[in-house]
Amino acid sequence: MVYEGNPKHKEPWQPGRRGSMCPRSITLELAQKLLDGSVAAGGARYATVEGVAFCAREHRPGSWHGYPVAWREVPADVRLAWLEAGVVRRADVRKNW
Amino acid sequence: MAVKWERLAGDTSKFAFKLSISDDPDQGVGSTAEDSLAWGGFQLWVEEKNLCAHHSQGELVESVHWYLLPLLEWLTANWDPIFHEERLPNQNAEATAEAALQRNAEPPRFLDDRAAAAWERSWSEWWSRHSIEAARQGGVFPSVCLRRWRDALEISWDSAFSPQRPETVEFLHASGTARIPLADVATPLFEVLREAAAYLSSRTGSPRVHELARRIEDLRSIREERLAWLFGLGATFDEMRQSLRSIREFAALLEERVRRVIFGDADAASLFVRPFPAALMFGAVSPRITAEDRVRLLQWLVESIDENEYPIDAVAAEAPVNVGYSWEQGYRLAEEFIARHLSGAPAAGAVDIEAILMSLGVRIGGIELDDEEIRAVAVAGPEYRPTVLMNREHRSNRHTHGHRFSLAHELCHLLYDRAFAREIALASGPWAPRDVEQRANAFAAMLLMPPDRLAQIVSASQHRVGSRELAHEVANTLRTGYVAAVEHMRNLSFISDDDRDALLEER
Repeated sequence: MVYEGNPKHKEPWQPGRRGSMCPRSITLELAQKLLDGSVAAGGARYATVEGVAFCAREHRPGSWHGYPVAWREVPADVRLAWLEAGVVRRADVRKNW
Repeated sequence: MAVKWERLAGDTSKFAFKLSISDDPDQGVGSTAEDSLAWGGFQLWVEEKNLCAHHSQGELVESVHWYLLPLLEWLTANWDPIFHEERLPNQNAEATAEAALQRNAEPPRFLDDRAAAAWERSWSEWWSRHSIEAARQGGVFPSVCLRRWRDALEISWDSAFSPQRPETVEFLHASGTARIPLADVATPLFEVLREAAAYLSSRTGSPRVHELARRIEDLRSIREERLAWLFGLGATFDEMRQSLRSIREFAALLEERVRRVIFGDADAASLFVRPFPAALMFGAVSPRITAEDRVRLLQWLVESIDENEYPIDAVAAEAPVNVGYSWEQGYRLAEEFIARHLSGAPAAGAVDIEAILMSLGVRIGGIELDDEEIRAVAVAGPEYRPTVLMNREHRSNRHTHGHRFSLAHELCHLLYDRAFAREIALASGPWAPRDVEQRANAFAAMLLMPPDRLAQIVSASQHRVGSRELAHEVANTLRTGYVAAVEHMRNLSFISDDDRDALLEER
């Protein structure tokens, strides 16, 4: 799996033509790391870092792009498993619901 | 950016959907070929409000721009639950779907881990069927929920709740709710879906796009799934289908004419199933209603078939519930009813609610249900004897004042909650539409405790306003419950909030 970003999740913004913005702290290297450790669910892959959830989708065989998601967008089974394992705290889920 | 294809369908004063397709500004980088092909913008119009209009970095943008194929796929895949599933997940927590999803997001603290996990799964599954956020795949969408509500399609929204909305983006329309006739939403939505799919199919041989076009055409076929969603009798879709099967077995024993009255043209090919009495009734009961209760209620529905006209049918009026103001509306409707129909009645003492119902031709019956939370069921319509069926197992109905309140509450439903074809079959309980129930509670309180009778008792009483003794005197004279009397006196400003709190504490 290779991470290949979609420009629509990056700055600078074109008014009305962009998606959820990836934080600047998510470098290409970190994005690849998140992808490598991600969990598959419902045709997408999910990862989390510092209480924020990310979703990745495959746009070409082997090539993936990602974007931040609200916790409610993460499939319940993935979210519950992470809460149980202590990967994410309930407070973070509430904050970024 | 040149628009290559565009379609607006519907009436912006009710509901309209606009889709436009243009060139992907990033020319396919980071997206599939089909997603890039279907890049464009959409607008959702509800009662003159474009829910997609937003300010972005100081500029007004009319459409949400993003990859549209996932949205088209989501609308198609979830068409049946959107247009047929009314019941909210886990708990009937709020009047609107958007508010209920926010309120119900976290499981109650008293649930054990297993039950809490089931709660979260149920919430997520419902959200994924009804919230357009589920189709955003990284775009910035408004938070909008679509669900069936009685004989309408409810659209509720809260722009502040939009997921991962950048601070530089502000949707114009903060929050709101609209309930629109089903056909006024289904028809334009379907038109745009079909034409968009046809356009995209002409541009690509992609199996994904052609499969979407096929599924959209299939939306017009008869689908058993729709009835399962409509009755919603189960925690999962499989359970709903099973319950539907047993209802069908019951229906198969009925005469054709009776079956048609109870179930309407439930199997007619259309974009959605129109409301019919059995669905209206079961749509407001617990999803866990027992099989025995289902049969009891259906049998009673059959016994209520009657083509005669009754006085209440001429008095019943259209009064869509005013979301957010249901209590005030209930008070107003009761005052209007009193002025129009009770001006000749005695001006003191308890209101004779049973005599009122009898004068309107309403039959009062009784039933024992396993579900003790169903207070009563009201049914009326061109082919039904107007009836209030009291559940003897409900704790309120075991006392005179509770029984009277239930009757007054059901009268409100018979007068003002008739659906399509002026029919009503509504079970009052925790799963009935909250704002409809609140309005009926307010109606009942005002009808049983009109302000002039309350004022009479207060002025003639030896007891101090705000005292427990006076509250009991009001309740006993008007034959209502103590709590209902206290709350009503507070609502009519006879007592203060502090008095009310103290009276409820003291009882």
